[in-house]
Amino acid sequence: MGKASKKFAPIPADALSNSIAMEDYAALDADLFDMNAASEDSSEKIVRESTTYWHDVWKRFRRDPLAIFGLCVILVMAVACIVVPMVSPYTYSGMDLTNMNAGPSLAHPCGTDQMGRDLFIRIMYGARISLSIGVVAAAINFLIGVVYGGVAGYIGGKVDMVMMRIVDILIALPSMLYTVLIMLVLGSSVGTVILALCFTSWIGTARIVRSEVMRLKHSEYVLAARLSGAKFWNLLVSHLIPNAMGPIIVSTAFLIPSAIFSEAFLSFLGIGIQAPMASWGTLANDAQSTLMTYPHQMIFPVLAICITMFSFNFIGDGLRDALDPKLKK
Amino acid sequence: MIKYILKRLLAGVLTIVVLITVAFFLMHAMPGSPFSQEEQKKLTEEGLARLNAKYGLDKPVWEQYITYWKGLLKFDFGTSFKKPDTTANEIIFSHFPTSAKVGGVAILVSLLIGIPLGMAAALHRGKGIDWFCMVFATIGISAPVFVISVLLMYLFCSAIPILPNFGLNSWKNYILPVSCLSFSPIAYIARQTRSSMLDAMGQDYIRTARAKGVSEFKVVAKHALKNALTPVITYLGTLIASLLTGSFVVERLFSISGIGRYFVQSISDRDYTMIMGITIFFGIFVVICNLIADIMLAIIDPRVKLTNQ
Repeated sequence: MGKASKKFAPIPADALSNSIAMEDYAALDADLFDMNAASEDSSEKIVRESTTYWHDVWKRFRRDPLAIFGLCVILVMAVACIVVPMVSPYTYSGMDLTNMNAGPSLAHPCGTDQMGRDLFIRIMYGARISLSIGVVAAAINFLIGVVYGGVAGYIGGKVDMVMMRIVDILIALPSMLYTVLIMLVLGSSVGTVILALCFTSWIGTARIVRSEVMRLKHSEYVLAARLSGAKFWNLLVSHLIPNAMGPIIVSTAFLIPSAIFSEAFLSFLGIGIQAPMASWGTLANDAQSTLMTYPHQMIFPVLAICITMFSFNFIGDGLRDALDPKLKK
Repeated sequence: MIKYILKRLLAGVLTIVVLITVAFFLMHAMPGSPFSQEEQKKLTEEGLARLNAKYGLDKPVWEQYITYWKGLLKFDFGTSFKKPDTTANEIIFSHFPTSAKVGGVAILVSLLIGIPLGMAAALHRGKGIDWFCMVFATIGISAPVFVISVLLMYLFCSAIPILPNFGLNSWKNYILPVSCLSFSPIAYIARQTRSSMLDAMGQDYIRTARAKGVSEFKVVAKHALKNALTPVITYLGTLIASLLTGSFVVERLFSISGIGRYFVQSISDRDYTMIMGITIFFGIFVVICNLIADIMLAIIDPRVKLTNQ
């Protein structure tokens, strides 16, 4: 606020000219002055670049050191998990039975596992799986949430009532129960993990979209669009959703770490990603039996999970503060 | 009030019905027979048919569904496919008390540490304790329960071996599992208490109380805390669910013979009737806990009834 009020403080022009009497001007040499060429032509000119909503958001987001830190970590991790497996001499399933359970060294920065597989490369492959599950699950949940919430909020009335009661029933139980059941039926693979994670995670987004749509649907611009013949989907996609984007993005951002967490949890229980593929949860699960003797096998995957979860949560917090400064506490 | 409770009750019953139906049809959508290939090879055609008849698998699905319901209404959660002499009821009733004991201690610990921590942070805003509370909350909310568990286990059982790492024989055995289970609930409760306490302390009635000359202790304990605690009670339902999920990991890691461990065990055995039975039991348990939390909230905060009607 401080900066803004200074910028817009009116210059007391009349006050100045009134306090200096006319005769004082005569005594002053005209050379002392520069003609203010700007006054006529450019007073109306907009010097600063006009800012948009998203510009503002980015400006606020940039000021949050933790969020920027999180973003950098995720970017580095994303690049590393694509590049490292391409250039590394090891593969995620290549065993070296002469070099089992080795501690961290120059050749193996994170050591090797019970079968002599390089742990660092396995963590990098795990990052591919965990990150892609997080992002894809969040994207699917975003879509389902937007459609479900949009339909419920826009139609309203009895349809809305029924749709929301269904949601209440689904959310009343820990989603892990449904997820475990679905995983058992569909079997373990990356696809089924994503499918299982999409069973209930969209509900938060759907509720937010619904309340935003209900708030916006009576505004004049929506009425105008309807009068000019906009169809429901058009209205939803090009008028309602863009104006509700802030809260939707925030809730989607938090879906990514929760999807990564759920996947790691499932794999840790042994019903997620199966060998020889490895997500971080699988690695942690494999390392359980050797926790006491070779703790590095547990520490590194677990650190990877922690750092990623922290980073995504920091990004989410930063986005929330940037998109909706009112929520900041 | 009664209308409100009835409404919540109805929603709870519906939830359970949906869960049972989903669980039943998912299990029956599973390809193949519940008996593994090797088990089938050992049996003759006739033996297999008898086994199918014993478990009612020869009947149409809807009839099995009704039979399952009849069993459930008599509180019979089914017999294990893998170990014909154990029923889900036995597992539930012999191992649930162990889980409830650990879980109960974890709830108490979460409340007893979380609430004072959040209060202290709110009352000393911007000081060291506030900073500590926020860092702790960030870690506790971001770090998955199994990460906390393996780290604590490694730290206190291997690096500095001062605590036992399995069983529940003495009070010492409780320390690690309870710490693991209550780690993130403490973080949630502390953060929630802090923010609602800050909110409450800024209200007019606090200023009025102070102006009347009420002692600072009474202002905090009687006027602010009572209003700051409503979100914590709302969280209790979620807390039960998160302890349930946590127990899968913690009981397995620390070899506690609770129901969570058996659930995970039956998952790796692919013992479908057991999984279904325990899942449904968990569902009923969570719904009842949520119902209690809702009613408690409605008694403490009369506004809830009005907004939810």
